[in-house]
This record gives sequence, C-alpha cells and structure tokens, in this order.
Amino acid sequence: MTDDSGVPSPRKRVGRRPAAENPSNVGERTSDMAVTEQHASSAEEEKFAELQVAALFGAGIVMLIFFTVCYFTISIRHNIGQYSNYALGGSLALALFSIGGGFIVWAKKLLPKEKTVQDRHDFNSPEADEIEAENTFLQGVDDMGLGRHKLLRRTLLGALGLFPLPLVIMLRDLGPLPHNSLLVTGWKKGTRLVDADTKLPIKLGSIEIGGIQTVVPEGVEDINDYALAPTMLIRFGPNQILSKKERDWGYQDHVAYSKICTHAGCPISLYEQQTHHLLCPCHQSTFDMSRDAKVIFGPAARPLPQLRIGVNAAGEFIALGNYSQAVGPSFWERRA
Amino acid sequence: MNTPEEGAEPVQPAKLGRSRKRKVASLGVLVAALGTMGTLYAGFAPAASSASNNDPAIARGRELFSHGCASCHGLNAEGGVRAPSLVGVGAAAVDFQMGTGRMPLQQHGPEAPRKRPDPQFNEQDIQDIATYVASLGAGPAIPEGIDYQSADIAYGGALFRTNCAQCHNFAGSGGALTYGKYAPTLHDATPRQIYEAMITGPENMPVFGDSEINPAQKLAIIKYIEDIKKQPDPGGAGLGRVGPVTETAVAWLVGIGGLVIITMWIGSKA
Repeated sequence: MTDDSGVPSPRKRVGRRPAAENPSNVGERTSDMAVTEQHASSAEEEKFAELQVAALFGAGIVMLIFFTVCYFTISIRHNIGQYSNYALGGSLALALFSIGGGFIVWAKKLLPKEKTVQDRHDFNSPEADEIEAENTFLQGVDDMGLGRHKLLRRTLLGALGLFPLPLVIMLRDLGPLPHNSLLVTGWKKGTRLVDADTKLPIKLGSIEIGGIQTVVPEGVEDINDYALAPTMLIRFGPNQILSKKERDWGYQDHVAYSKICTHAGCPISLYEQQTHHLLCPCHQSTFDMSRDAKVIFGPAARPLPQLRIGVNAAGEFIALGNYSQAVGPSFWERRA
Repeated sequence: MNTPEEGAEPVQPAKLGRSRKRKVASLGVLVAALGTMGTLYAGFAPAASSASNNDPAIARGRELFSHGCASCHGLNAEGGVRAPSLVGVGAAAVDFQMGTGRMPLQQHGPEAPRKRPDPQFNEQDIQDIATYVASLGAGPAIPEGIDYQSADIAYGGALFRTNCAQCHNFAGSGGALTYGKYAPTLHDATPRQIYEAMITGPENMPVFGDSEINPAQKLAIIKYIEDIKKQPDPGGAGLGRVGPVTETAVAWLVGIGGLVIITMWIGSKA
C-alpha cells in the first residue's frame, strides 16, 4: 500500500503509513482481528429490515411532497404565518428524520456486523520529511537575505514593533474614570417629581392609598443622570409606615424610594400593597417598604435609598435634595 | 348626716342657689343641643336611609350578602378576623372579586385564585350585592361603557411596560410575587375586569386611580392587553409566554435530551 521511501505523496501519508511497518493492524479486515457475525440474521429478518428501511425512506418522500404542497397552498399572511411555519417546519423535520432513520436502520440491521481494531499511527513524520522541512525553512531564510538587506530588516522590525500600539491605545476606551457620576443622580432640591411616561408633575392626593407611581426628575436630559434617577412614589394608608425616619423623609404617607435594586441594578417595582413587600424580579430580593425598605429576603445587601420629598406651594411633589447615598448596586469606590 | 348641710346652708345660701341655677341652665342647653342634633340628624340621615331601604336592589343585595358573604365579612360588612371590612370598597371591587370567581373564597391562602364564578350568584345577584356594598360607603363604581377600540395601542403598550409588566409579564402571562403570592395572567380577564382591577387594587395589586392613570390611558392599556391576548405564536408553542426560562428548559430537556437518547440508540448494538 505504501513504500518506505523518503518522498511519499501526501495522499499516501494520511493514516496509512504505518501499514508497511505494522502490517497486522492496518484497517484491513484480517481473519484474526475482525469479530465477524456476518449475515447472522435470517433471510426473513433481512426482508423485514429491508421493508423497514424502505418505509422510512417512503415516509421521507411523502413528507417532502407534503412540504412542497404546503409551501404553495398555506398563506403566510394569516396569523403571521403561524400555520405555514407549523406545516413547513414539521414536514421538513419529519422528512429529514425519516431519511436519517432509514440510513441508521439500514446500517444497524443490514450491513455486515464485525469489529476491527486499528492502532493509532505514529504522530511524528518520517525522518526524511523532517529533514526536508528544516532545509526548506533554512533555505527560505537564506533567500530572504535579511543579512544583506539592512533597510528591509530595520523597517520590518519597526513595523512589527509598532504593531501592538493600536491595541494598547484602545485600552484607553476602558475609561475615563466615572468620577462622581455614580454617586449623584438628576435629583436636586426643589426638582419636581414627574411621571415617567407623561412627564407631568404629581399632585398631592392624585395617588390613591395603596397606589404607586414611577417618577423621574423634571427636565433631566443627561442620560447618566436619568438612568439612576427612576424613583417609586408610594402612598401608604394612615399609620402604616413603621419607621420614623421613613415618615420624616416622606410627606403625608407618601414616600419615595429608588427604583434601582441595590443588588444588581434591576428596575424594581413589584409592589404588594397589602404586605408592603417590594420584590425584585431578577433575583427575588425582597424589601419591606413599611420598615425603611429593609431587606427581608434575597441577595441585596442594602436597603433601597430613600429620597426626601415635600410639596411645593402648588401642591406638587418636589425633591428636597439628592439621594443621600449612591443608588443602585455596589461598586469599589462606594462609601458605606 | 344632716348636720353639716343644715349648718352650712345659712352660711352660703346665695352661692348654693346660683350653683343650682347653673345646673338647671346647663341641663337646658344640653337638652336643647341634643334636640337640635336629633332634629338635624332626622333631617338628613333618615332621608338617605329611607332611600336605600326603598331601593329593592340594596335590600336584595343585603339579603344575598347575609347568606353568602357575612360569615367572613360580618353582617354589616364591618370585617372580621378572617376578612377585611367592605365599607368604602365600592361596587367595582365587588363586581371584580365575584365576577372573577375569587369571592366567595374557596379557602384561605396566600392568593385567591381566579375560578369559575360561583353558580349560586348570577350576574344580577352580583350587581345587587355590589349596589348594597356601595351603599355602605363611597368607593369606585362599576365602570360603564368601556370602549377601547379607538384608544392608542402604542401608548397603551408604553404605559403597560411602565406600570403593569413588572408583575404581569410583558405578554400579560403573570408572574411570581413573594411568599406564594402571584400576579395572575391577564388572558382570562375581560376589559371591565382589567379596568376594575386598576381602580380598586385587588389583593396586593397597587391602586391606579383616575388621577394617576386617567381613563383614556386606562383604555389604551386595555387595548394593548386585548391585542396581546389575540397574538398568535408564529414559532409554534408559546410555552406560557414567560420568556427564556421555559424556552431554555424545553431546548435542554426535550431537544438535547432527545438527541442524547437517539445517539445512545444509534451507538447501541443492533
């Protein structure tokens, strides 16, 4: 099958070279290596297997014809192509499954059954090939003449030396440093609370007892200020707030808390008006909003920050300052 | 016993007389005030109560209430250990709770599930009980004429995502809350029930009053919900429309699990 000369053609080298060296374990069927059960099944069994395979191929044919018919008859305008998708996807899947299944049954039931063992060939190339490759490389280096062409050598070194430069420069885009942008939000003393959708101010009394409204600071355009600013305005019933600080920072049973979860920063407003639990949908952190947003379940490490609110002369809710601490999840520079 | 009084009388006769006169005067004022109050009360209160007593719907509602609701909510809907007071909840709350089958409550638990309305109360019975409960104290009335067809569906979608989607899911499929409670799917709710839920805040749902989300905005939200209810599932099964959780579970368990089983079958000896 192969020879032991120094220049074998590539085709011969793939997986076949050890044949000459170890003739006993080539992928050839030899009587002592192969465990043979050829034609163990009877003629009737073979006939039955043949029918099985033919039935599977036949099912494939039917499904392919069905696919073609469905493609032209079922409208894709109806229900966003729902039924067309069912028919085309289903028939094509069944066709491929049947044809593939036919091949497998064919292989398992009709092909001769035998076991052969073939050793792995050696990983190294023949010595002659190694020497030739080495010589070719050295010849190439010599032909380039780097020793003679000084200018080429220097410019090449310069070009390769500068190549990492763009990669290093682009590291700058990891910055700039956030400075205090994580610590402050768009809330200032006197900023009106406006509805997140309508951007209209919130009048005292417009929220019912047990109601909740998502509010943002009026007139904030900067995307970073806006991103940290969403706040929940919650109205409790009389005497339902159990924390004095929470009452003092709120206004007439209304309190405002950051809507950004202190765990991973998800927007959080699954508010239960009877239990006063606030649930974060991402990791199930649960805050007791009647006890100063205390964490009662889940991975959050801190209560939600509260925004101090009041009411202006026109009866609209205003912030009495920024959040007293950074809102949202922890970060390295965060104090407390 | 008599001696101190008799001895005292001559000493301060004038003073005692004044005191008696004062007592008589204050008694007179009290009687007059009570009389006035009674007259005033008779002038206002009976007018209302006689009207409500004359309303057959309220009388019928009270009767039905005493059979079906009073065991938990109290004979006068004043509430009890097992159930809240219904004074001031309004007709909309009654219509929602009974119309969705949540009340009468089947059993106590974290959440009252939606079920087929109790067959012992028909639509008219529910209306009468609602009228009776509404007569106990002012509350949201049953919304009439909910015409959402001309509402702005895109605006409704934006409002839904801000105010509703966090609990009820982006496709209205509902979702879990804390300690066994859950926000129900909206796919079975009628437009009227959705409207009533917003204005009454049933169970743990926050109240969204008309000054927070105005009626036009409510209709826009309803239009959006009615539209997502009708949306088909073009990719096949919706898998509850709860997003990547069920989709990944099916892909891993059914898809990859099935492939592993088929691979094992192919590899096995015939």
